[in-house]
Amino acid sequence: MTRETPKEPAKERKDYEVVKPPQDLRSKVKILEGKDAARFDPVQAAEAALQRLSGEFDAWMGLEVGTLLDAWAALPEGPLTEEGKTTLFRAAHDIKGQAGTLGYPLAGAVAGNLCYLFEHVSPAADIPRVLVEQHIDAVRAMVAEGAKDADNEVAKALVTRLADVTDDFISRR
Amino acid sequence: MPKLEFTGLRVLVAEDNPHMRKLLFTLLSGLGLRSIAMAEDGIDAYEAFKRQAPDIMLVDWQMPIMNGAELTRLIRNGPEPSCFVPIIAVTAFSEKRHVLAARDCGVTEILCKPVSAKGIYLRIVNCILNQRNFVRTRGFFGPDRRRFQNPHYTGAERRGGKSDDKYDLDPSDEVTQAAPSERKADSVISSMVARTAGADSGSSSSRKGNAE
Repeated sequence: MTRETPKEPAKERKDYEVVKPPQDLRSKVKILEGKDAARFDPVQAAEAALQRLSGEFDAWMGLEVGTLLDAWAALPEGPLTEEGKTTLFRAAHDIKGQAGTLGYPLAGAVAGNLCYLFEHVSPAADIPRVLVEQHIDAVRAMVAEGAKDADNEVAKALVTRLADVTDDFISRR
Repeated sequence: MPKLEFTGLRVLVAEDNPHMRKLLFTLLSGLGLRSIAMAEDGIDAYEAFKRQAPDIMLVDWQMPIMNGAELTRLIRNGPEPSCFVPIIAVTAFSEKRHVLAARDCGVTEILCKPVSAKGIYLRIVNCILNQRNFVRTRGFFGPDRRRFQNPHYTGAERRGGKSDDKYDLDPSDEVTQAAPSERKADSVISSMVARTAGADSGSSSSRKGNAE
């Protein structure tokens, strides 16, 4: 392992050390050139693999929405609890992260906005249940209606409206 | 964009969501990887990491029991040479403050969800072809965070800055501070298992600063 030391005057104590990683990962791969490069495009191959899997995406999205709905249904009456917020956040965060890849970008945007609300309002009891419910209903409806098109006007309007209401609520606190 | 054949590369994926695991496995297989290990949470991932010594890790940032930040710190504070493994954080936390926090934990690359074939490919390629040196200071060990030189930077973490920020090296430039690997990883894991992991929520920032 090669250790490089910063160039500073002798005897001065350094406040950092630069270390070259011992393994050169280039030895683990082959850079394709010429005919090999023309024959195989890794990104295209991965996209094709994803496309073959895409028949399962609607079912997966349904399951993710089901998790969010279950978390909502399991909440006790009254103000939102920290535990309830955490459970809902995890479910919404999973949807936010996957919806784009699974073909539901606008549902992902709504879930992302719900995460934003959870992240920026504390304590949990201050979060209006009705606003959480509106987000969950929007995600459920978009997936149930198959609103996959990022240009779906109704879904886009819903995303914008929920973001505006959320921003307004947060700014007035 | 160079085309690389990854068949000799060993990758470990830490991801708690089963659908996301399948997505990542499919994308990595499609990219040509043949050795792909999957772990369902941070603890599983750390055990697999110790057994398999992967060449690259993909780590979900929000996982139960031990999240991506905790896993990254555990690996970076562990023994050499495995502490140098490139870690790609895969996260739906795309706000700037989250990205900076992940960087400061010692991740090598950050991949924001939703994931794409090209996004994963480029980050793996970057880990291989642009392998970065590591920097060790008193409070940080990880890939060099400098992607370029900024002579006007005046932040608190500037190297060679404050005298109270010294990371003691003796004149022969040998590290004199106790090796981070002495940290007791098992006790760290035990404490994580004992508590319920909470969602990363709390501190506030304006939406103007949101990189989403």
